[in-house]
Amino acid sequence: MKCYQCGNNLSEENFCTACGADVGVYKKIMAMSNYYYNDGLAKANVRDLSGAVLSLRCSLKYNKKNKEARNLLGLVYFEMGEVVLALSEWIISKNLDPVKNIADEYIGAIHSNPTRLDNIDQTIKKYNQALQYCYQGSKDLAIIQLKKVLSINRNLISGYQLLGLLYINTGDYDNAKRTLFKALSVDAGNTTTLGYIKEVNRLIREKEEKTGKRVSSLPMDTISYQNGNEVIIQPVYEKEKKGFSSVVNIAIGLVVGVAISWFLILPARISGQNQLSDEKFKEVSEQLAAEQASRQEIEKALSDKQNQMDELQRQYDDMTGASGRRTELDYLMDAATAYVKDPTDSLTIMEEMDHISEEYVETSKDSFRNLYDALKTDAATLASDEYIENAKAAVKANDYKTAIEEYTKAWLLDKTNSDVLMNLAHCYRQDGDTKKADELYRQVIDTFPDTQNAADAADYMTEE
Amino acid sequence: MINFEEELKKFHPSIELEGVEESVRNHDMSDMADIFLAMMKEKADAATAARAEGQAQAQAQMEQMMMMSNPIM
Repeated sequence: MKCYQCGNNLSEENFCTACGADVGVYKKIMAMSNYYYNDGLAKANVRDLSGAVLSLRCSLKYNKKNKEARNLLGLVYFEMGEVVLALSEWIISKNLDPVKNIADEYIGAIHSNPTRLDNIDQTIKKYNQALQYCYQGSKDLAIIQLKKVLSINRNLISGYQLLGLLYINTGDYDNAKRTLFKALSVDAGNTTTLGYIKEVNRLIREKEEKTGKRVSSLPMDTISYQNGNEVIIQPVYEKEKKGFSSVVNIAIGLVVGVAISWFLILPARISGQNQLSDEKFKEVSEQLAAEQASRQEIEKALSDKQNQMDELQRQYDDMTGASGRRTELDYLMDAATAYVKDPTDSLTIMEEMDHISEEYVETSKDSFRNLYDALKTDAATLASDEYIENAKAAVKANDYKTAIEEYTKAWLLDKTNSDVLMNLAHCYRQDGDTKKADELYRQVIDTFPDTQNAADAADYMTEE
Repeated sequence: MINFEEELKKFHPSIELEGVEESVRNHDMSDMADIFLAMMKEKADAATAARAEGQAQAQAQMEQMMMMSNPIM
């Protein structure tokens, strides 16, 4: 504490040791201010907000520069929903002592949230509007407006009190009590609130005495007890009646429990189990698909191997003759055998030789090819002669069909013999196929020009 | 017995946010310490005035005594 005259730090004496000023009364004033601050703080701690306001204002009446008292007063106002009054106190506090003042943070916290500030402003305007409705007698509108206000600003004591007063006036004592109890939960020692509750209880009793019925379901009284210097007031709740109602309550509880488990817990668990099952099913399906793919690959490889084996077996059988299929070598051997038995049996030899293709002969070994050529040369000449003889015999018998067949075979064996081709053409002509005959005559002319056959063929040709 | 109309008079419109400045300006800032300091100042002023008056009176008496001891020739 400093001297009001010279600013020197004061000692325990009742005078300033620097300037000699009498500071006894000044010290007492400061002490009173601190005393009321402590009183206000104690009341605020037990939620006696209106009591705290009175003490803190008293403290400031003694010493307006009591920073802690002013800041606490702002906080209490804020808790009571009186934001503008709170802001006023904090602004004054900040102006009186701008250094290391927590009021700065409080102001900053409100200003940093424009939405909240806007809500506060709307709340104040609606409250004032509700009050205006009250003055005009529009109590219903006022109640609606106040409900809106209290849904936003849940600590506005004056709002609860006004709403409680309106409910009392309209005879809605239950709602009045509920509202006033809410106000009491914010500010436990508010005499106005307590007075209204007392009045509501009195009115309820009067009504119950008149009607003989229970009017309110809420507890009638509040209980108060002393806690140090504080009086704590709270509503009395009646004990619940035991007996049948307990059984009913337990049954209701069981039903609610079963309903909750049925509608909330069970579906969630079933859903969880289904999800697990789905995941397992998916996993097993993937494994199965992989195994199927693997099995198909193995089957395909097995099939390929089997085919290869079959092919090899077939080739082996062909080579060994186990398959029964005759090879070119067999035919050649048969032809050779037939030639050894009877060299003139050219037809049998040629029949066997016909089974051997020219392509096979070209790609075969020299020994095979030499034997093939030797047999064919001998046999072909003999066979050709034999075919010609057969053909002539057929011509004599006027069997031109057979003659054509025999001459054709002879021509295929020996294509240097123009007589054979000429006779073949004659046979066709005799058989009535002049077109084919002409074609063969033309072939005679082209293949063997400058021969007698060519000249004759030109004479025989019908198309000139 | 609560009188609704009378009770209603106890409720006053809240100060809106625009009114904060005016509220601060109109705030009654006088405290006991101010009154005490004013009283002390008044007391000090009175003492100074009394001291000055006493000095003036003493000086007047001195002058009177001087005149009596040294009569004009």
